[in-house]
Amino acid sequence: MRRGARIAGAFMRASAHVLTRAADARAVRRVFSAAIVLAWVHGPMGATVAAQSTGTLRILCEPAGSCEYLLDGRHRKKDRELSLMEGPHRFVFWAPERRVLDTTLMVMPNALREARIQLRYSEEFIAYNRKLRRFQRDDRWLRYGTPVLAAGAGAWFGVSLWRTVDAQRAVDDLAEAYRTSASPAGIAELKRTDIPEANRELRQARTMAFVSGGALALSGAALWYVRSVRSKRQPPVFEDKERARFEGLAWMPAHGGHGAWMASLTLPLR
Amino acid sequence: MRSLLALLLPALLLLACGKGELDPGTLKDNPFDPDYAGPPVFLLDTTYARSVSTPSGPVQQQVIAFRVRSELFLSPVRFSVRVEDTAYGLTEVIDPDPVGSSHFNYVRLGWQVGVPVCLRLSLFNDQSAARAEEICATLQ
Repeated sequence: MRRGARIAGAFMRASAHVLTRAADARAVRRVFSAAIVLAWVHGPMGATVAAQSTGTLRILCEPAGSCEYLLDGRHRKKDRELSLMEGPHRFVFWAPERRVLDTTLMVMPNALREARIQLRYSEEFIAYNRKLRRFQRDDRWLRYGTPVLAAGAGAWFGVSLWRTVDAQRAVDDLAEAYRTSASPAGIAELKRTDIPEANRELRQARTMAFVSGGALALSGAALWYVRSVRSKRQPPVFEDKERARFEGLAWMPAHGGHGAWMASLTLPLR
Repeated sequence: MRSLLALLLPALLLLACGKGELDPGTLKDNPFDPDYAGPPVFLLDTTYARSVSTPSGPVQQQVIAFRVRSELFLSPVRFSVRVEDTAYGLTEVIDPDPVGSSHFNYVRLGWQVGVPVCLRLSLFNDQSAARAEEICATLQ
């Protein structure tokens, strides 16, 4: 209608310009009358043509590939480019793990418009992701922590054992040295310094060996316990409520203009 | 867990079966030990008097022959003997006679019949002496 008025106005301005030169007032009145009639006739015609115009909408949705949308509450689509009637259209966008975005896009007649949609992660997914990371971190500790601990205890025990054997050998060597020595001063030194020192080292090494053996036994028990605990642990399950919400809105078109509202229920199967 | 036990048990057995510490107080069976507590090491063989000719004239000497019981040694070793003549207050280190044997002869100047001469003997090596034992010899 507005378009018709615009055409009539332009026509009138052009006619007035021409007729002013002619300076014929009657002719001017006739032309104005004709223009008004033309505007009345052309207005509804133009409106009819505009209502049937289509436009193209190119949807660039992130995350690409998994983005789906519901068009005008009925049609579930994944297409990236759509030809739609001009005017506003309701779009509900969704992608796995993302939040549903409900928006209206305007389609312009005979024009290509691009809509860039960035879907944000849903709160549930963020919470799930946080839980999953915590689970994975704890699981890493459980998986690698105790074996590393046991390996460390084993290495400690091995070193302690080696030191004990070494210290015992040193004591035995000193006993042999006492037996074969023919030096009174050497024997006195042996008994005063060397043997007590070797005894002290043997004592320390044995104590360390027993302690590290205990640590090894404990870490072995911990390893066994943690393994059994770990086998019972379950990772968090992501329940995509946005998906349920989105699918609850879906209209599945059928033949003959019929369709059905779809709803879904997610059952985590373990 | 089984492999852990298989590692632990022999190791603990090894630890338990070790000879353990050496008590210096119980080490007393080496004759070279200053704390030796075994049977006597020195045995008197004999003593006799002799006269030795020197350019300045004859010298009277008493020889005290003794033996070291080398069978008490824990290993074959070379050694000397330190002799302390208690009557004269002299100390001397002598070697075996003949060399390589376990026989020693201590020679002192002068002699007296019926008067015991006591010597404090100790095995000597590495500038140090072992436990001292006293033997006494009387010239008949």
